[in-house]
Amino acid sequence: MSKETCLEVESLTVRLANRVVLENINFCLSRGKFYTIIGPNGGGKTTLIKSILGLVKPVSGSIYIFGVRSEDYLREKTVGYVPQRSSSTRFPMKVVDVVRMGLIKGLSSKWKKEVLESLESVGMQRYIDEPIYELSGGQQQRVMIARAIVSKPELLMLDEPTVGLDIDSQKSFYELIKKLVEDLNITVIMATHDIGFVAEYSHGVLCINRRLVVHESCGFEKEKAFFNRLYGFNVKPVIHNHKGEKRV
Amino acid sequence: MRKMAFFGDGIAHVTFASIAIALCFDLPILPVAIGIAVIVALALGYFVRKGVSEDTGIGVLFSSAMAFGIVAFSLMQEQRSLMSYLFGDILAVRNQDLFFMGTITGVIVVFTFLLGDKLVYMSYDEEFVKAMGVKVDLIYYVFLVLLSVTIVSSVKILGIVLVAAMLVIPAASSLLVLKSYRFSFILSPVIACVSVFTGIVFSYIFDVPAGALIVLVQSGIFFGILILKRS
Repeated sequence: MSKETCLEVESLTVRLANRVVLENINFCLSRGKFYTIIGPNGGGKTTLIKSILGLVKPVSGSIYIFGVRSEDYLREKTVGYVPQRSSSTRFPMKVVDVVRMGLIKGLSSKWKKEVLESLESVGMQRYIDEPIYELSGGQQQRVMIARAIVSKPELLMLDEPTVGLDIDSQKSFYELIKKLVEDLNITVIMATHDIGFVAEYSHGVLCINRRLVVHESCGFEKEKAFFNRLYGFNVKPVIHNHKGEKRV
Repeated sequence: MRKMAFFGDGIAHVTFASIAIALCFDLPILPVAIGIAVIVALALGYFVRKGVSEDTGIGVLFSSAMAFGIVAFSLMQEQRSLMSYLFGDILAVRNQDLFFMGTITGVIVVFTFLLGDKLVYMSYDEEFVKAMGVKVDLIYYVFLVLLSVTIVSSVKILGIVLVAAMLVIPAASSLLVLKSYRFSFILSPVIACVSVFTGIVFSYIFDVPAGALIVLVQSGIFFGILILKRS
């Protein structure tokens, strides 16, 4: 395993409620890049993320994060995490409290400064004292990213963070991820259905449907046969860019 | 915040059944009531976390416990009035009860100081907190134990029917005023103390059950804040 390896998954099999959700997954991802995980609903994208985070125990296989067994790595360090968006509720928390959650493992005396810096990196610093429920969906997702990176993790995992966001907010979100990868040298792994943005922004794609269908380290197949293999039915994506122009 | 108001109500009704069991077998009421309430709360909490619907579980428990308690009371050789258990009797509170309540209050203050933030975070986003390595199950079960003990110790004053109100209304009132949970940890007990004191004073003046008046005062505070906010 080289120093440039961020994540290595070996022969990972996960079973949930007597059903094999992931089967014999093997891949290796490099440091400092933006990877996406795509695949049909129920294909195992969220399960893969949760397995890496230690929220789900695999039946077999091993996971290494920056060369260390994931259990040992997670005990000492933090992996940034943005879970799937839940429905908005009027929960009485301000933005500062939400981001402070990211420091739950160890709060230093400089926590306010760390929270402010994290919010500045996502452009949300002026909302620091606002109730979280008064922000728009896109703004709330930015705050969730701030929460995930406040502890300065080396790895950030996001689970379908753009659900419910309009196209402009999605574009803005992917631009932010790109900036974080470039400026902070964070490795980002994101489960998503946004095929168009995947093609435009990610350095590599993991295509999961119980098994790893394809692991593309560069480029991205947009062929009909590929999507047949991944989603299991006839589909040819027509990928549009942000201006609405068709891309081949 | 944890949407467990109904849970508290269910435990209060289990307390009714446990009091009946203690009286039937001539056992000390407080330890039996606490023991049974804690066991039931932990069991229900375990099944809820495994996917059983909380509403269904509590609904079944609520009515079964109440029915059991009523039957047990009716079968007792020495008939006792249900009223003091259902609606509370502040005159029945003894010094040892006050000592016990004070001790519980101290434990809860320490718990809130040490783990209050984590419990709130769990209420907001438990999956994230768990991913951060926090032992969410342990905190949840400790919370259930403290909740059960608090409910049992309050039944004597407020009664089974009204004890859940004490868990819900002061906190709900404070959150009408505040946009963040932080100061509700201070405002909520203040509202509770003001309503208890006012309720007891009016109870003495008008010779009506203290528990009911305490809850009426709390409700008045809640609706008063709501009306002021709307206007």
